[in-house]
Amino acid sequence: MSGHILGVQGEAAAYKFIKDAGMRPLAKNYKKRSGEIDIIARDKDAIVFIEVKTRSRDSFGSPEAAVTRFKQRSIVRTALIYLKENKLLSAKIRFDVIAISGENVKHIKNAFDATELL
Amino acid sequence: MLSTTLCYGLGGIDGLQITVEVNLSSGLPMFDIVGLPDAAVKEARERIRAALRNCGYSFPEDRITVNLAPADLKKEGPSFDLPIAIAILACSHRVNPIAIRDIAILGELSLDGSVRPIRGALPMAISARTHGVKKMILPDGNSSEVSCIDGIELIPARNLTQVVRHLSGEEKIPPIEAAAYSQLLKNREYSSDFRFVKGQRSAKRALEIAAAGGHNVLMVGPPGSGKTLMARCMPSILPDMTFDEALVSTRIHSVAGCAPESGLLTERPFRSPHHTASHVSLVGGGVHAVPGEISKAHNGVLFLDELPEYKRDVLEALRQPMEDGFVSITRVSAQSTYPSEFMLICSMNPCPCGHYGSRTHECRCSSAEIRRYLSRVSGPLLDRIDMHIEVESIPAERLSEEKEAEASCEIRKRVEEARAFQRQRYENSKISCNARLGAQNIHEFCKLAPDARKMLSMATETMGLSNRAFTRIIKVARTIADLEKEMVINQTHIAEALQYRSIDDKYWH
Repeated sequence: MSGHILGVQGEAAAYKFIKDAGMRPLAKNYKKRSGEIDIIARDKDAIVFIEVKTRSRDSFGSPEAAVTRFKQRSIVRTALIYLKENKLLSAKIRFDVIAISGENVKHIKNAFDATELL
Repeated sequence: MLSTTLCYGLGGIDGLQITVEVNLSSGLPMFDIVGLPDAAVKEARERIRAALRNCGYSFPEDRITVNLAPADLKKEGPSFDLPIAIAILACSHRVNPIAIRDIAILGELSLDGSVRPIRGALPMAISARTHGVKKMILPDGNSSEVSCIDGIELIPARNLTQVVRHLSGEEKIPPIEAAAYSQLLKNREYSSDFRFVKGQRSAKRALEIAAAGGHNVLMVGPPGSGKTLMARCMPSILPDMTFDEALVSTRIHSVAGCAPESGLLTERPFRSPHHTASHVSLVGGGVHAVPGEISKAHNGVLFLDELPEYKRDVLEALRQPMEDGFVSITRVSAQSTYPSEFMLICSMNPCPCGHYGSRTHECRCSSAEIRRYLSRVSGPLLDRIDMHIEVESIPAERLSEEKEAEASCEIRKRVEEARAFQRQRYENSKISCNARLGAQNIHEFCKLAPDARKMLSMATETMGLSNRAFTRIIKVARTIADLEKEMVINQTHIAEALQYRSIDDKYWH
């Protein structure tokens, strides 16, 4: 299976997962020059930016470990643009990671924050 | 949501009150510490995050801003971990924010939430008491160090959960019970005792005088004559420290991170740095301007064995702190003043082979070698040493016939009496002992009999004494008179004091 197809499948699975978890999706594959955010959702009063990582097997390390500092920075920067566009800068904000490997879906809430990333 | 609590930092041997303010707001989640934190304070973020999670508390998903006020003062070290963690919990109402507003909290956190001991807990606790803080939470590992402090409620903390439960009133931690100082003094034991030093009657007499007046001593003698042994016996004949002296000494050790396990330092410190010591280790310094050996020896003895082996610049650096009784250390990040009223005891051989002037061995050194060896000790330093004594080696046959000598506790009784006599005289001044007399006080406190004055002026002429040497002789004579409880210094006192000045003529001429 090619990497791209695997990723798209993973994101679809994650989309279903957050809906089941009671979150309301706001945007999918939000793309800006600074990067891309897989899913933006609303969880109660918080705006949640979700990065989906998919792996067919664990032999390259866990999927959540693949969200590097560089990736975190691009997510935070893109998130800022989204918040600005939607006038949400003073809302409650969270960065989550959904890690999918095979059948396993793991939701890591508050996986990282913007400390020293801007 | 804002909450504040108090913490303490170190400035020299004093604690500096620092207000820890934590603000939670919505917005991009971040954890920032402002107020000139150093690397260890910034790393608190990771320790706090892990400790809170591992203790089962949720880490807030908000923007966390920590301010350490006053903001223009550099904050060092990990002692801010616990107050920041507690203030964060107060913001999320896990702890009552009002309950922590007026108490001081200190402690380093480990990742599992246990509280680690910190450096300088004693000076911080003392300063908190002076600032009127009623209650202080500090690491359990520091509790023996601060157990002598009363007038402030000190709560020993083992881990984060315990502190939270204490603050919320679920399970109170009993405060540390203050131990009486006199209780601590009782069980003193010395490894070295003058009882085991055979012979050397004149050297012992000289050391007794030195102990009674706090004078500096130089011992010159061949190897194996007992110089080091006698120096190590000195703490056993020095008078007990007063409570205030013990507090200052312990504070210095606490700042240097070497406070005794048992808590308060009750025995006068005896420091004997090796002769390879650098001047930073001796005088103090480093990035954080920590106290050196001379400050750790405050109120005690600094023993320099084999004096000529020390680097010259190291010895010269001692001159100013010896005169002033304090040392100011200035570094880029810190400026500190530490007290350094120590009694200097030095020992040395008279020549490289060690037997110059000995009656039992023949010296193998050339006169040039001897001169070079002796010249490593500078004149100005010698001038600052009140008493120079010669220690002779004792022939083996006399060692075996000699009975057990006088015990240290007997000598100490006489020393304590002489010190009490001095204290009476210096009641209304800041002087602690005869050695601390300044040139301006000499006339006021050291009354000489006419014949003593005459003898002294004659000796000054024939021996070519410097002004400093002159006042030092009077000070030593004052101590000899104190040992006999005489108000006026007479001729015999001066004569004995002069004798402790005569050997520099023999070697350094």
